[in-house]
Amino acid sequence: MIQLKNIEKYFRSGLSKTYILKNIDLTIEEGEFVTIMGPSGAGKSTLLNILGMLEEPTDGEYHFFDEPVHKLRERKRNDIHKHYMGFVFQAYHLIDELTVYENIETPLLYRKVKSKDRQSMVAEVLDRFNMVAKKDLFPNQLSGGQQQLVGIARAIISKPKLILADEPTGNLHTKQGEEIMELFKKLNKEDGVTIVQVTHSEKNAQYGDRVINLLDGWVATDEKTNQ
Amino acid sequence: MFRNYLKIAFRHISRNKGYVFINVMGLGVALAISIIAFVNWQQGQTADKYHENLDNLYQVIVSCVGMDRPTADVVAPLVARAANEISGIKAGIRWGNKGVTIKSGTDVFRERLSVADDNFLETFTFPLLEGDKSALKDPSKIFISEEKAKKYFGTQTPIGKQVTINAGEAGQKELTIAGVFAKIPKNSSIRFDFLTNLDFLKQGPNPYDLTKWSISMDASFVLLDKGVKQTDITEQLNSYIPEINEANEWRTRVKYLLQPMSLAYLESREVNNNRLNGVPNNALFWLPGILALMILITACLNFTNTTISFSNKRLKEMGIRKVMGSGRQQLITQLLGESLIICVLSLFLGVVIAEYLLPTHNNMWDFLGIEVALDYFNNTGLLLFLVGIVLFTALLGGAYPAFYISAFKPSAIFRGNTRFGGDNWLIRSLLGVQVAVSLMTVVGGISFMQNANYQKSFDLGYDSKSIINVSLNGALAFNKFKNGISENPHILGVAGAKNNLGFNSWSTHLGKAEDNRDVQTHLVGEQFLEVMDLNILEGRTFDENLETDYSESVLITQKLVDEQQWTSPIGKKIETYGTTKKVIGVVEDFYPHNFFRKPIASVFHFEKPDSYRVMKVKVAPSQLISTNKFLNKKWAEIFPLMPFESYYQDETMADALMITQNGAKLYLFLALIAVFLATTGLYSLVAMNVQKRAKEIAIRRVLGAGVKNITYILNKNYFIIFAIGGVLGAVIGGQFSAFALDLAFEVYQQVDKSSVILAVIGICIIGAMTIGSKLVTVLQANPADTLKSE
Repeated sequence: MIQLKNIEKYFRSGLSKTYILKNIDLTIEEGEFVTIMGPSGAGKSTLLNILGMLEEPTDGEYHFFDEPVHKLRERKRNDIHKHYMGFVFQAYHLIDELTVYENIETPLLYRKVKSKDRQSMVAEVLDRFNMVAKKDLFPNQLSGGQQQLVGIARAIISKPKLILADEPTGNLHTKQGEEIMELFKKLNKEDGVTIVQVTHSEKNAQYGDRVINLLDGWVATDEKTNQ
Repeated sequence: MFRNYLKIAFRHISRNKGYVFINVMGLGVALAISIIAFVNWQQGQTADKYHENLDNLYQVIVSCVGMDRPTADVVAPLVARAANEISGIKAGIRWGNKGVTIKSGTDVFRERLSVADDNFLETFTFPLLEGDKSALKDPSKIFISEEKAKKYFGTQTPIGKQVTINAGEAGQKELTIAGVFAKIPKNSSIRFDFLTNLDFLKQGPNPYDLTKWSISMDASFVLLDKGVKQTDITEQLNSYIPEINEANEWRTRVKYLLQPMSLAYLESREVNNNRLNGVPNNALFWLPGILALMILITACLNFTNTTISFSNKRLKEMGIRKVMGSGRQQLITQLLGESLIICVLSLFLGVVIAEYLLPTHNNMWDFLGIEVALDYFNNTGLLLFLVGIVLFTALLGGAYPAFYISAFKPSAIFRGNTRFGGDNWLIRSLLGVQVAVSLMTVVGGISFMQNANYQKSFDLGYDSKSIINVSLNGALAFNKFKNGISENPHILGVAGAKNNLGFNSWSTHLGKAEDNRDVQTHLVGEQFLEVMDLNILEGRTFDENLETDYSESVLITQKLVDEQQWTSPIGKKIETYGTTKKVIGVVEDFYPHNFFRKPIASVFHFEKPDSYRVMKVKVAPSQLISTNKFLNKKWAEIFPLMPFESYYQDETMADALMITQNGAKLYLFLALIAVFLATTGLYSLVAMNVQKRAKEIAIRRVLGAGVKNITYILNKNYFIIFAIGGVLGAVIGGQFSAFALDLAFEVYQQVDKSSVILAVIGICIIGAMTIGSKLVTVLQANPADTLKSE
């Protein structure tokens, strides 16, 4: 599904280069649940952003379902990003001015889904996440766990093939975190959604089936979990 | 999608009431001013447009030797003959006016009676409310305006009622009302309250023979056939010139011109001796538009600045939307749409404010006959303008923020290292422009105010403060009234004149054709120079006991002496109206057109009481009102049948003073708005800057920076902008107000430099206070709290 060849990201300052990512070769198959770990500043988020096409690598090749992303124009890249990917953030990043219902609906608007279909799709997701009663509340009226639930609902509403999650449980307490991770696992197993998450937590990593450790921009280890 | 945008826009608005209030207020006022400026401009554009034949109607004017502009008083038979003899002319229409008294029942009023050819109502479009157009052909009939019909007959129908023209005088005539015409728009070049057949001029004590080349009309028009070339017509009109010049030698006509009727109102001042209604200066229609545009642009810049400074809150949303799959295009559309909503809200407010300002505007310019209305439902141009200006404002104010905000990368936004640089050069120069515009208006206001004071105390070269003018007709009335009022000890002097200095004047040609000199003619009577305090520099004044002074003598002004380069003017010969007269004295230059024109070379002729049209009564300035009452009482005793009409000499300056005072008011009003806009713009900029630099300030304070140091750091940039904007605004403002004054007047005072400097300092103080008010909150905050929240 995803193939990275020799991906590099660096900033030039004068003659020297400051590397954030260096020489990353990575293949992710459809249906995998991958965890990226590593100390602060190791380049985890940058790698996730590159996978999600929010940032461009300075160098290297990125193939997504055999499409050479690094060669594509922005519009085409946007299209792939729009149709195949969902994002979940540590700080949830819901739009404060929109209700739960509207937040979940937003990605569908950008995919030009018809109004009737939108209604049924949002209703289905709300039902699945047990949030029907909360659909008219604004984000600041929800607990952190609930907000993250909305964040995930929003990420999966358009049935993406890939979910990218940046420390999805970072702002949550343990019990909420566990619930969220269970949800990810379920999505991965039952719906076959590919998931790539960034986390600091060893425990969360165990929900997935592969762990990639980054160190100073390099892939230090890449191994299967005990599952 | 659209509903989603709309929802978020309205939620955004309801959560940022301060932001919305500042912008809707600013833009609303600016739009209100623009709306009024637009209808004001339309007033000039739509002048006379209601005539169905407008495209083929022309006023005939003639350029003459010695006159700087063509003149409107074309000889009476010309267009009547031309209509018969020149193919291509469908009709010739003559129009004139006479001051008369009109008596209905026991009421007598002084009115202006208009006279016109039979075909006048068929050629021009003046809709009748009652009656039939063809009645104009009947010399015993008269048409009356709706307003006057109310004044004379109240609710009764005026049709069939009898009125007496010049009752009790020679040439008294009974006319029957045959029609009532609808209100004529104020921006019409032909306006009248009473209309009868041209035949009226052929009667009375001084009957006009309208077939003679020596009689002229107030205005002559031709209606051309479609597609006829103007030059073909004027060429043929010119063929009459030799015959006409021979018939009256005092004026040498060079060529006839056709002034399109569509320009008659706007260009009326380009025609001499023009009796048509027009604007003194068509800048009155476009200058307010420029000022309004300036204010609108300032408001838009303000909108831009505040939108950007409030956009920090929106960044996250923009980032999320991009991650959700929004393209940049869609974000721009969304942001521009939000600007549009603000602008539409502003427009609603603007329409309300415009409604409120309109009467003030109309009152201000009423004396020039400018009256505008906001008729949204019947004015397609206005509706288009509203749509256009809203789009323009939304684009001008919203485009930069929309492109700017939508350009950020979501990854950068989420990482938290994107904050708006409220301090980039563009935003700073926008503020500079606002400051400059504020100063331009402030300086304009000061300039007009100073000019008003200057003109109020200006010495016109004759007594303009202590004279009462009484309208009358001829020797009998003059002498009777003069005797009647002689008992009043407050009356210091009485003079008579045919034309009234300061109110009407006549420019004529001096000498032989080749001398090419244009002079003002003043036809004055006994005691005129003494009563008017005109100074004799050389020679003597007129003597009523010398018969030869009436027929052979003139007084001239110093200006004419200078122009002729005479060293001893007394005894020199001057030729006007085909007669040669001798100069007996030189009068000091004066300002007959007060501030509108510099002194012009003038010639005084001595007139006998028979031709007097006005009596000038001199009193002490403190006695003006009581003496006027006395004159009115006496008049009613002596002439019970005739209405009393009087006016003060200082009214001659009324128009000029109104223009300067209104200019000052207008400018100061705009200045208030511009300063308000610049202040809010500055405030939001400072607020943004302080917010952005809160951490830096807190750290500096923890490290021991004092109030002075913080103030300096925060203000450094603004001070430079204020200085540059201030100086630019002051210089351009001074130039611009001088330009505006120059359009209106020949006699005015340039704005005083020290007050301009004061204005710059004033603006800087207002700016410093604005910054200071924000600074206080920063300095009062505990730096520890700021750092904690970071």
